Amino acid sequence: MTKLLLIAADTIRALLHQRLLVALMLLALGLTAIFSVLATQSKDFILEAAERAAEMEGTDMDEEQLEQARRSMDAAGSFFLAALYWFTALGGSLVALYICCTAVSKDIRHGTIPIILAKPVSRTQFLLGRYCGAISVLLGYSVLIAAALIAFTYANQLEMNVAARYAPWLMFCQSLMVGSVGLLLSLLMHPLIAAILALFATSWFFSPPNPLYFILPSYDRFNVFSLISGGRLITLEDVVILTFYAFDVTAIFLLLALWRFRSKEVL
Amino acid sequence: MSIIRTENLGKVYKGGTTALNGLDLEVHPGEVFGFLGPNGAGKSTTIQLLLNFIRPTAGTAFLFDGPVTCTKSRQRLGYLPESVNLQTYYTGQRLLEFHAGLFGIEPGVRARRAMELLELVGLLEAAGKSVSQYSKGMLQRLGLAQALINDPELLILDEPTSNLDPVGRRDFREILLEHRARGKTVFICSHILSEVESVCDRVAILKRGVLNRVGTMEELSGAKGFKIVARDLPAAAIDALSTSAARVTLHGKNATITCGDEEVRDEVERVLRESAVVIEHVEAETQSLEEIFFGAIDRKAES
Repeated sequence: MTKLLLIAADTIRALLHQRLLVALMLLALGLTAIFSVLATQSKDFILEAAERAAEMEGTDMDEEQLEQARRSMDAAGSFFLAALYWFTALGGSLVALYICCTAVSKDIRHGTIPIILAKPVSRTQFLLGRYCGAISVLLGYSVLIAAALIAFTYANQLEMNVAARYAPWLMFCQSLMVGSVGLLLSLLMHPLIAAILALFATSWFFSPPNPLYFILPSYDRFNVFSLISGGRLITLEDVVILTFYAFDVTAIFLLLALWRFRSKEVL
Repeated sequence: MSIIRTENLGKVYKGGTTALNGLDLEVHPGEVFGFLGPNGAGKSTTIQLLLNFIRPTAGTAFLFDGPVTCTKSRQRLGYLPESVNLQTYYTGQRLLEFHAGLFGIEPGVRARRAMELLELVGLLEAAGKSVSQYSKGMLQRLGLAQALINDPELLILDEPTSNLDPVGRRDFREILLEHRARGKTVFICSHILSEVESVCDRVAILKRGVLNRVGTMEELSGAKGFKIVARDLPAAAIDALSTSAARVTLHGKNATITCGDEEVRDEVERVLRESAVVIEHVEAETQSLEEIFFGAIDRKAES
């Protein structure tokens, strides 16, 4: 266990030294700020437009007009919130893919793996250590994103609906799955191709009776954008089931990755 | 007990390239074993098989009499690869502490052990410096330090001095000799024959994946001839020797007589005795490792 933790800590250190990854994370946080500004400005714009319309009619805004403007403002806010979730979820997936697809392949490419595997470290410990380190960074990133989302929601006085409340956790669960698929594929092919394939390896593209529908993970269930924009409320029970599903898929793909890595020739 | 043992070990890569073919090898405790061969001979493949980085297509390999797949056996092993690629996001000291941790060395002991080794390899002043700022020679020294972090019973070194300057090579040789003096085993792959000759107890020569020769330096070198130095060699003796297979070189009144084998040596000694010549000394001429090496790979090529 100590060795696994040491490798995980080593992974975290390595990842935080990667400028591209840090840039990707900052970009995602930057997008949050941009969306926040856009949402605020759109609300101001809606209010101004309503006031201008009232002025042109030569009257003050009545209650009905105010209510209509408020509804438009809420709709715009919700749209930006949903779009923000979509972007952050995509950003999260990209970060997860970057981290997990390079977790082991980078060691092989840079030639740092032989010195570690010449130590009394099993391949299982190595792979799980790398994955745990990667997921720890991803968890940290998700916490940052969650904080940014909360700040955005409060700054724009938006209603924190149930779907939005669980959004960061669902995004993290999706990243876990995407990451494990990416990790497995990166042991079979070039990491870049693995990352692209992992992103699109979802059952959404297939429908029964195509066997791929049953084999590939389903990411769309974790799509907060469609949940919010579709006005679908999500219960805690749904979240628990989705969490189990994500952990299940992650465990299956991790086991497959372990099976592959144990027999992989490390040159 | 053997430290390293291979039985009919073979490796054929995808595409049909045979890197190693039927290698039978045994390395005993406490010996420094030199593993030689030209590029592509299969030396690195052997090491990769021993460390379970790749799987054999034939035969088996053992470390400490256990299968190489056993992770525990690596607790007693230190490894320095040919290309020393270390994690550049550590300082030298932190890197060694990380590797010490992988051996299960207690956190309190790691820092002390790291500093001891940094001093041993001459990197104490660079202990706090980022590994990314290390030169090639410094990386090689740091690589050696990480290989020694667990005070291994077996040290596997692949071209350990390729990036070292003469001072570094001398330091390395001293570290190796000190390691041997403490009864440790060293398995060393090197292209620098003089280096191998100076430290190794036994040597194996590999050619195109096949073990060509193995033995101690004495066993491998054999006697390639004899040299007799004689004083006041009379003309009659010179005439008598000129008809033999010996070659006479005169230095004033002294002469050096080179004999190809024992039979010729006996004949020369008989002639010299009959002429009442004083024999200063007789010495056997042995082959250097370089001669053995080139002889081995040439002979194989001819066959």
